[in-house]
Amino acid sequence: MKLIINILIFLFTLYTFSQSSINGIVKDSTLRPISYVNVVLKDSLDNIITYAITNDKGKYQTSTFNYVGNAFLHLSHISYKKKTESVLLINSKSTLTMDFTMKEADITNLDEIVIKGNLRPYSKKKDTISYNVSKYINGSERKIEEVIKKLPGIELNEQSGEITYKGKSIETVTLDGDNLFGFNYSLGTKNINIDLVEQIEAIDNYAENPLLKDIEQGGKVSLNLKLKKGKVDVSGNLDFGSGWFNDGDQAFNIASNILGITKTYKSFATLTYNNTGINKSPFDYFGYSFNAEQLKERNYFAEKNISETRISNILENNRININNQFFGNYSAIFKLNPKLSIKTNLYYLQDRINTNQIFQNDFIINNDSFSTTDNTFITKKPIQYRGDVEIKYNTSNTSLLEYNLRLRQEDIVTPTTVIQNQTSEFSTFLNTEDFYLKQDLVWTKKLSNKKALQVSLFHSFNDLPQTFSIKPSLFDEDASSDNQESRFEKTYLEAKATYLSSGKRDKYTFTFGGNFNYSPFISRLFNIEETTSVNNFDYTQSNIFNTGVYNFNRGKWQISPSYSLRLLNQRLNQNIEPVEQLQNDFIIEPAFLIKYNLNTSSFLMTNIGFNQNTNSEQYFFLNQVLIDNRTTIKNTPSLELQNSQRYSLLYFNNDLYNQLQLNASINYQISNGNFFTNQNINENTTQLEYFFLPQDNSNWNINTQISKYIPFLNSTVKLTSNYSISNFRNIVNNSNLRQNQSQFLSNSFFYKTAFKFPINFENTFIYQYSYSKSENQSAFINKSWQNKFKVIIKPNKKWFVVLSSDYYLPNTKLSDEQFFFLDATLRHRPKSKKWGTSLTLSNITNEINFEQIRTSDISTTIFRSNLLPRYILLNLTWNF
Amino acid sequence: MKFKLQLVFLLSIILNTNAQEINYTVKVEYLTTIDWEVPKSYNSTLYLNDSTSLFILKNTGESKINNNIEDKTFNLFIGSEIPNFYINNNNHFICSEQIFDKHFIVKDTITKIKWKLSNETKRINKYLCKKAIGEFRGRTYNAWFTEEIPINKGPWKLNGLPGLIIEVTDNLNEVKFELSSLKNINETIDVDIKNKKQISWEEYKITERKKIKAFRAFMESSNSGNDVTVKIDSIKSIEKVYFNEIDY
Repeated sequence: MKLIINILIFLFTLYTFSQSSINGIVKDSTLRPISYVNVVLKDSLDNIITYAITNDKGKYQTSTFNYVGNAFLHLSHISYKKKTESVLLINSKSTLTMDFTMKEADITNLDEIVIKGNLRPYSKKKDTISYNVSKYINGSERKIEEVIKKLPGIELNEQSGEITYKGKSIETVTLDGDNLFGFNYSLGTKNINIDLVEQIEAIDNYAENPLLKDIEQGGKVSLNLKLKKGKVDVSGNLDFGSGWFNDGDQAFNIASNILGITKTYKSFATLTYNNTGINKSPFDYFGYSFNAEQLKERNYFAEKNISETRISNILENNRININNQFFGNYSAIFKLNPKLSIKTNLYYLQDRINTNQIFQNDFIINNDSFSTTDNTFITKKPIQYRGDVEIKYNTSNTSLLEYNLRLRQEDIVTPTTVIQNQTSEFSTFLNTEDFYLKQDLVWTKKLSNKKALQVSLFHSFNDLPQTFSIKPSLFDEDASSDNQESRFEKTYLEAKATYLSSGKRDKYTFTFGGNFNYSPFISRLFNIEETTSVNNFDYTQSNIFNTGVYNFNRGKWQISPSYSLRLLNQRLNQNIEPVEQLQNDFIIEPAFLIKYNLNTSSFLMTNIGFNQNTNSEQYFFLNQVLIDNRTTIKNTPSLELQNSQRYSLLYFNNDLYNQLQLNASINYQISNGNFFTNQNINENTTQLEYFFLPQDNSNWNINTQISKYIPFLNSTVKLTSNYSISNFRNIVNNSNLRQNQSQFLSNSFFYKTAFKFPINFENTFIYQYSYSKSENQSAFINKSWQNKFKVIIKPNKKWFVVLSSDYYLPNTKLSDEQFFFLDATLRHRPKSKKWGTSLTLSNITNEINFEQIRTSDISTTIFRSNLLPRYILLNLTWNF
Repeated sequence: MKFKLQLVFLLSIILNTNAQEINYTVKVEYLTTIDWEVPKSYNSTLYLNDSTSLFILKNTGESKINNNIEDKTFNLFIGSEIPNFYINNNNHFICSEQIFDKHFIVKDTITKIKWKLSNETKRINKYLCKKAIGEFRGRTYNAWFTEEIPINKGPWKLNGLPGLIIEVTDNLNEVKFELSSLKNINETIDVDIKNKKQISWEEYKITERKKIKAFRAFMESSNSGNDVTVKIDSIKSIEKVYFNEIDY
């Protein structure tokens, strides 16, 4: 400011006294005016008095000055010879006109220079969009997840924690570039407080292995959290929430997170406990949906024959998950030296989930109608211990050796009481143990800037013994109980070499390798009197394979054909019956991906693929296995392959300029050669038998999502629509092979205001329609809808209130069965942002049960489950 | 009024010069550093001939948003693969600018920067440089220029000194251009400005402001749930004052 004043004063004094000026025209030898000539007036000490630059007519006009005496006028231009003329300025009111002629320079060359060492590393990131979150600490309990889902182009699946960016599932969420969490990134996004993060970056061409950056097939996406650079190396938060349920029991939601960062060490630790239905872990023991990591590794998992969960729920976990979860994680990277780093992830989870679920099935089979009910009281007690170690060793600048080890032990104990058809009571007990070991060794060698070779060895082992017992016995009146033992194992070995290369525009990858999978199974269904059924098989599968992907990039087109060739050998030995099946196949699987970038914000992508799939091991046992109080399963095993074709088309547009996001996709899949079910269902038992037929099943799936901000209404409107059709076949109660179709439609309409005043509104309306039909039978149809309405009040920066109501009508034909929820959150953040408090009132109307309806080709299922009762919870947050 | 008419006339001349295939004789490279919370450097190039200059800022395109989630700054940068360029003909600029993913050709006429020369000198590499202080659209720039190179141009929209600008920094240290190399060339550079919407600088700034406001509201209201509020604090831009004096 002082400087500006000084300048002003100086200019002012200059203005009052400066009165002289010089003007004129500069021309070349042909009398053409020269523009951009520097005309500089200097004193004898070479100080600049004033200057001017000629315009396009060759004219110059200096600003006024107050110099008296001898001066020099210097003329310069890159294309002309320098010229100097002396000027005598007699008084301070001279107005001189001086015209010049300049001679063209013989050589106009300038001395070339390169200032070395001045160019810093390029920090431009073409592949990165960054979202800066900085400079604030506050006491709210907001997690980074809540901000991530707000970011344009990013979608978050609230149930699984899966994040997609530009329509693609992300690889990981890194912390300052370090991949601490792997695919279990929801650990970070669910638990890390927003206050710790300065910037979120979305990375378009992510390469986990730095040696393969720009060499491997692109298209991988990830997020990076840039952490705040604090003065202390340790930061974190402590949340303590406590209150009461309606029945007087105490409610808790306690969490603490610590982030420790030094130059050589980066760690994240979280320790949480809650009984308010929140799952803070990346593992879902309530609905058993696979997370991103489990989906990647499912090929290495042994089958689980007897499931702990029967049906997935449409309600949010925090209403229905009556839990008691203790979860801890410690993730750390140690950079021992510039070449060696070790990463470790330790997990511990313990939960107790109580639920009372009532299933009412109304069957109509071959014009026979009957109903069944099961009233189940389930307690699930999972415990998981897990440790991961990853060692990275840069053996040279161009090679990297990586070793990964994962060990997991999981025990789930599930005692259940079932009242079947309101008369017979059973108590069952399911114990599942799951031991999983996975290790791999990868060596990457960068052959040149554009080429790399990768060799990897992989080994995994999964042992999954289960015991299920039921009292009283289903098979023998004299026995007190039946016992089912079932044990799948899987060993997987693979060795492969991958060659990666990238050209100016194109990239390609070839892989050669072999793998071996050994999956034995034993089971025994017995009681004290007799053994009802025994299974014992050994299944081995081996592949010698070659795969290749070529990626053409031509302007707006990206075309990527790929293929897989393999020699498949399968062998199935039933060790009890002398049955041995053997099959060898040579398999060619081509696929195509074509992407067309319409502009920088939108693209069209199509995928076509042909696959030949082997059958899951769960279809390979011959004799019955009991899985619950009604159901037994058996199979007619087959090693025949399934031929499947898939086609998809995706349109994606993220037009921030017009505040429009639009996604539309259509998928079609047809598979020929399937295991079909032969079901025998009566009031008390369900017998399932799976058998293979070279017949087809097909699926259509159509999704659209449009969100648009409407400036006129100050609101965003979002329409989501999902429609699927599946065609499948089965045999029910000795029918012929029936052709069935089920359709499912879900439409949601979302509206949210962005008013400038303290009150805003949000409404979501969802309509669902399900239709299931078998040939020669009438259809099972259900229509339901729900509406969620929220009022968001923010009188000032310190206070924040949300009131929300959820209304559900599970069946439009039964309007007396309806559910209404009311919730409220009040949050206060004092000026000191180290602290924060909030008050939550959940399920204020104290709904006890919730009901949802499903249809299948043979029945309508009414599913009722109990809910977390009304509770009040006061939460305190402390950031450090 | 007369002046405005002249301006319209000049703009219409520029409008008609769609073919920007121009031969340049000098190539000057600058390292451009823009430091708004997170410093970013770019390689940039100034091409020159007797009458025209072309400044290309490679791979930039910050959307210049500085949103505020309550107390927290929440910047959004959107990388662009198209270089931002500034063609200068007698202080009539044809620039490529963008708002989010949308690119515009912006026509801008700037008034002469009133540089205040000082006798302070310093040697940058082999050049003896003189200092000049000038104010341009809300920032005060300290420029070091050398008379040894008689080119009165400079990086970005900064020019009008009796010698090439070797280094220039604004008072807040947020914007910095440093010369990194200079050489003679004989290159024809074709800048395609056809097929893109052409607007005036004023229209561009008004649109930018409108779009960012709408984007803020969209971010706030596009998802269910929590209390994240996005506020626009100020639009970060090299130009802090948007419009020419002639318009206000």
